[in-house]
Amino acid sequence: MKKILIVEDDLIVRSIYRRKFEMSGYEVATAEEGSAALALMPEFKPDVIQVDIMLPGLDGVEVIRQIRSWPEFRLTPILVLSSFYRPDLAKDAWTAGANKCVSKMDCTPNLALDLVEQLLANEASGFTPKYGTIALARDALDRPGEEGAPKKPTAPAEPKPETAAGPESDAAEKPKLRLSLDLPPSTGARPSMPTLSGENTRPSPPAPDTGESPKLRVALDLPPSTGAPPSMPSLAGESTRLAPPNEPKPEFFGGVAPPPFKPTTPPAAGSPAVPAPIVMPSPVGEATPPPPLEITTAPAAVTSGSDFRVEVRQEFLRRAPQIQSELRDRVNALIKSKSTGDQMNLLRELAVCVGSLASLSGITGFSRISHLAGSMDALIQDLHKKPAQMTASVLRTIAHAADCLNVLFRDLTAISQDLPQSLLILAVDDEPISRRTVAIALSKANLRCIGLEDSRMALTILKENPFDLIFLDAEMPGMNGFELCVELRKLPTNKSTPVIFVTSMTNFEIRAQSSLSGGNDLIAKPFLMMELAVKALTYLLKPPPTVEARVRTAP
Amino acid sequence: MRELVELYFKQAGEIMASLEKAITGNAVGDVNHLAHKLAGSSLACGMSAVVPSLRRLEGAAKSGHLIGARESMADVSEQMKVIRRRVQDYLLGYPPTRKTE
Repeated sequence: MKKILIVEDDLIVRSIYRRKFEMSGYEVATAEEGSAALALMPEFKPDVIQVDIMLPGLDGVEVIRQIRSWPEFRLTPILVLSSFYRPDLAKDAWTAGANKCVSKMDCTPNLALDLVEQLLANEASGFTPKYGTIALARDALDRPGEEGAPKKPTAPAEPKPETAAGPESDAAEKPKLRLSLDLPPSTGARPSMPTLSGENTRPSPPAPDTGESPKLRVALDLPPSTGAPPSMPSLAGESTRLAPPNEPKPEFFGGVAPPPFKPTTPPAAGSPAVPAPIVMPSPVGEATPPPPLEITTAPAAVTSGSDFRVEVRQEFLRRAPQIQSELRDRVNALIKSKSTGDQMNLLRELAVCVGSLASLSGITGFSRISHLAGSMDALIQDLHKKPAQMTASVLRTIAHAADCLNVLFRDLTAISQDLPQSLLILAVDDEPISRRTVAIALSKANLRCIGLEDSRMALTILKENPFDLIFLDAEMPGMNGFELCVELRKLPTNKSTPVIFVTSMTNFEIRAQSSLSGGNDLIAKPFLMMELAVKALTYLLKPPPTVEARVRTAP
Repeated sequence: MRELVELYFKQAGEIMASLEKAITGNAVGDVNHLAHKLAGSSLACGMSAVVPSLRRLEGAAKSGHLIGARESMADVSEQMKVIRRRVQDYLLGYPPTRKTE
């Protein structure tokens, strides 16, 4: 019987994983924090270890580092559960010696079991990876053969040599966004505005064919091998720019996306997607009593896989009202707090709450909740590092995201939990740095956007292409953002597309103009990258209004 | 980050040159637009030290009179030099050598 040590601070998540591995014939020991795990190691001698990266006290990275410092466990396979929105943690884990890293938001118990068995198979086949290199990490994450169901031991690929290239060098495996310009047969006339249309996007309404308009085509090339969409769908691709002669340039951002922290395995068709968790650090300075060690050797009553899935989902549904209430209370307290000290304490509590929610919803397959909670968690971590960034805009973003979580909670079984695919996001700003900043911020959530500097060109494109989300600069030459918003609200294609103004001016007048022009929201510069990512996810993951609600709100 | 910083300084240099010309030519609309643009990109990059001077320029332009614009522009240039030096130090891994404010 193989032995696995599970290091996870969330009791429910820990229990779910423990049961899964016990049902699969493993001898399981669990620890809820790092020092307890290290204390357990010499006695338990696990064959494989599963570590949550963010643990109270000694964090997951330090746990891995210490494990690797013991000759006896130098090669023991380690699976790390980390956050989709914290690729830096995955990098640290790899550097410390982890073998595999998977997003908690997308990791199911089945997937964890598959990965563990694969790691054990690799070990049995004599594969001795060189730990501590990013190259190995990227190899582990992206090697196509490592995804999916348990595999027979195969000769592992050699770890890729470390290169100076960043995650962008993985672009070959990512979806590609192609832009092409079809110029009309040389008429000598100045081409009119380009049109965006493309595969993997909603079909555009047919444009009148004048025979003269140049067409911008956007095509999304999906990687041929996986057969599954990327976890957080996007207009992914290279930073391709194309400028028709004498026309403003549309820019396609995406080359700076963080390491593609995709779910290592897509959920099996027909089965509920079951992501995994986020773990939060304990409040600084809080004395944590030594956790009880839990060691079980006798497998619980064997349950079938589907029963197990149903059971963990039911557990989540049972706890949902309590989680929802706790979330609401914590956000309310945060908004009402006055001092920075109070806010930081309340943020910590909120972080524990959303971190736990991201874990639990992930493992039980509620992907929308998991990703939104996970992104909030990452935003809160950033706020801990930069408390000065705790602005009214950030508070509003957090409150709005919590509100969206409540909507998702309201009818858990009716709302599709699938993450939206092939999203089309537009950022219009005459100022290139601001456009780029928006693009980088969106990349934190693995989202891509099309950047345009000219508001009139944007309007032409908006006429024929429905977008999922639009970011507008308020002040632009020619047609300002408010004027553009008024115009785009008249378009059938984008009359209800969420519009977020990005502006450095957030006084009452600007807020009023934002609302009066038909804007949905406003984000103040300077913003934390993660704030904009959370804001975008809040709009993208929110379920569409029900027919009933639409009727209620109709004029 | 390096990419953003390079883009920022390139653009800031161009805008500041245009701003000087606009102030000299008393082109109030241009001053308003350019100062707003540079303030926006400075905030986006977290270079907030230069923003108050730019806001003064913007305010003056909005009022239709470029009173004090030369002084504000001089402040902008001085702040920009300091920012450039500090960012270079940061990118080279040196600790900050001086405070700007």
